[in-house]
Amino acid sequence: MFGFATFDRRVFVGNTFALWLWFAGSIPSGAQTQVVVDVPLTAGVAANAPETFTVQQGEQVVLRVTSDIALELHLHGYDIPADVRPNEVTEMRFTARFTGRFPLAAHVDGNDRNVGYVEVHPK
Amino acid sequence: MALAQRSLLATALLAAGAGQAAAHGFGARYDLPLPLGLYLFAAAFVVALSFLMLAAFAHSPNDAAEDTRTDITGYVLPRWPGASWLALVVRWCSVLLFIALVVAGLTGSPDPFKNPLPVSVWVIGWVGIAYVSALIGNVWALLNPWDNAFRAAEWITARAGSRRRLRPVLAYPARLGVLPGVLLFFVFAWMELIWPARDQPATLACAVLAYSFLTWTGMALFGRVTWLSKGEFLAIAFGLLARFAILGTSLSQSGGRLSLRPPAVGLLVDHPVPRSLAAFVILMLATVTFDGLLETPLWSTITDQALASVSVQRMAEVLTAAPQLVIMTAGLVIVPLIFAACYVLVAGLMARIATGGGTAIPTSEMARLFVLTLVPIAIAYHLSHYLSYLLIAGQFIIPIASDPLALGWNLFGTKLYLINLGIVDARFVWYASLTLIIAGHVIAVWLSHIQAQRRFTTRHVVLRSQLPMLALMVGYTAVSLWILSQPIVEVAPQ
Repeated sequence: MFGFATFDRRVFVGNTFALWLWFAGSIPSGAQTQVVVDVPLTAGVAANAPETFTVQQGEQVVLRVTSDIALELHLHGYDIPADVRPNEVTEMRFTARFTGRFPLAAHVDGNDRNVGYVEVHPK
Repeated sequence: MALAQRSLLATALLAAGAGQAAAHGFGARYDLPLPLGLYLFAAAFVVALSFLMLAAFAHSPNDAAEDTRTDITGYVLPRWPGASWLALVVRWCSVLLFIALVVAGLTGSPDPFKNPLPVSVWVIGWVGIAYVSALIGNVWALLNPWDNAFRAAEWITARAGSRRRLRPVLAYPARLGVLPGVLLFFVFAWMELIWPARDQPATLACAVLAYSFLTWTGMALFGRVTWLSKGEFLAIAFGLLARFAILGTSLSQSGGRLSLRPPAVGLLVDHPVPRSLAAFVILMLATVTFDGLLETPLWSTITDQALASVSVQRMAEVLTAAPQLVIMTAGLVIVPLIFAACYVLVAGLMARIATGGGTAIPTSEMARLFVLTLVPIAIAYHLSHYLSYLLIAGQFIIPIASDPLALGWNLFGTKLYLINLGIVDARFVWYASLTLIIAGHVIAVWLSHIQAQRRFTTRHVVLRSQLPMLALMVGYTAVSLWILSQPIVEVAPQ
């Protein structure tokens, strides 16, 4: 089901809303800062679950996930899946193009669990 | 493109599998909480504005009451040529669309993100039509598929001969008021907020069919118009919201009439509304707030505490239901009761203050006279709370519309459309919410004052009677703002 990082896919297909164009102007397209966020998981849960990881709009985000068990992670909204293996660093990379609060869900043994949230704040 | 499809599927599966993941029917919400600074600013602004308005009312001449009474009839719009034919076409389309949606629900994809029914019921139907009703006018009177299908049945039977004409069989018991509507609205709210199967297209389609059967039975027994105003809860709810709208509709023997009027004046009443309608309003306001409450960290704390309690576990065992469902259902009963208690308390205070001058005024009269003045606050909260949800989750209809029955069609070439998260920016939602909440509050305070002017003769009583109401409105607005400032959390599935 997972296995493809779909982060730089353009999702603007068929969008006819002029409103969007107006907001697009506020998103910087030049040099972007990269932020690295550590997401340590124990038994499929973050330390202070549900933890909120905050980034700024326009930043290049790298979620560095470590876990003691194997699990499938999924960042909702941005739709980024990742196969996490025990005691290995898995990186989930995306450009924080859209503002919002996006659940990061872990899929362990057929159960979905909220690990935390990634909040992308507007510039 | 296969990649895109795969990823959409992944979201759908995860969202569907999570079960409890979305506290509201259908789809996830990605709203950012209102920042603390904006929240405090708005709360302070609302309190300050309330006092400013009070001071302004105190210094304004009191003969304004008579003027507002004549003002609100509105400007009657001229008839549009061919309007009745257009209305007929719309009515037929609504019935056909309704049938298509139910068929799609029953036979289409079991994936809620690939079937047109869940998004049409929960996002476009409930949230979307509420938006249009409150902002523009009572579109449900035209779009209501149950009404339109029954009209068609009436027309056909009338042509078949006068002996077969559909006539009401029973006289509606007047003392029931809108009680059937209140009960049905409660069931609907439970389904929207709590029912675990609300996203399953086939089950939802069965629920829609059951409701259709019930509605048509009600119409056949008591008459179409009677049932629409007493039992068809959507007509009652959208009708209440549409009282806020600038486009007024009035029905007479010769047909409908449209008029333009200032916003919210439709919520002013000449006589106290029936008790059951007051109950309907309070239930509606409370469930809208409860929907927001379900996604707050406070609610997940309450759930955790309740889950640990032995009596809740025992109750869940007795009812053979998941403990979470029991807790949420209890919340859906308790929150409206708290709302009702607060409101009756305020109405009691108003009655006492007003009685000070002479003949006793019952609490019930106060409660039934002022209940609609709270509606603007609920509308403002509803619009703010669902703005991004409507614009983001509503987009699911675009890919689904191209292949509604999951037969591999691509009717509009939008089958692979991907949800655009950038359509609303958090900052836009924040400022829109603040503007709406403050405007809703100001309109509510103003309405309540006019309503008091109509009821009470001396300015002294008008002003003093408004103090408890003002306190209630500030409280209600503050609760709405507070919910917007809370991060959306999902209660962890057990």
